[in-house]
Amino acid sequence: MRAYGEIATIGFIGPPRTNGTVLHEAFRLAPPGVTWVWSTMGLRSSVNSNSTGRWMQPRPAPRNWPSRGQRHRDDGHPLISSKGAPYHEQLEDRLANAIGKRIPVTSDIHCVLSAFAALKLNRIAVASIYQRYIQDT
Amino acid sequence: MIEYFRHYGVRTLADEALSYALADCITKPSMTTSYDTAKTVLQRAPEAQGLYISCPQWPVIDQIETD
Repeated sequence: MRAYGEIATIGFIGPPRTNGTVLHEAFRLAPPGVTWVWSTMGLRSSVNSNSTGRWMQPRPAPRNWPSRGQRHRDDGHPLISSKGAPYHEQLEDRLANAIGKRIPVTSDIHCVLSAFAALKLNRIAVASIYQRYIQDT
Repeated sequence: MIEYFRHYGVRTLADEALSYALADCITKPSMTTSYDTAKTVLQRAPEAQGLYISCPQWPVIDQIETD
């Protein structure tokens, strides 16, 4: 048995200001024996924008991304919802096509909807720090 | 999100949006803000089947494990 091994590599796109929280929570969620090895790269379109309006607009990753052998990619960005349904499906298709469908692509809203379906939830309550116009869309 | 979820057949019975501006997301929430907000919104929707706490800038796992 190997002491160390790589199970999967995941590419994750998220707003840079969330890194501290996302990493901490990811370590908390990891099952026993599994850890995360993180490295980060800046995406200019996200890093250089300071206004909420630009920040909240999801953008596709560069064409050459991922270039380090990722087998799975999660394009997490909760404000995908600001584009209106079914935007996450269209975005996932665009991203998958942009990389020749070499790896699976999903989004956080996709995971959330899948969780609702798995748990058979159709009446929920929502709490967020978002502004009202974001929450309502 | 509420409209988005509705598109997929999920109805939001009650919600709470704290309306933080971008900089507020870093400075305003405490480690229990998500817990306090979740409790508030659940009190308004006791018939809800589930609670969705949104935004990756919120630390939530400790709060979920509290109850």
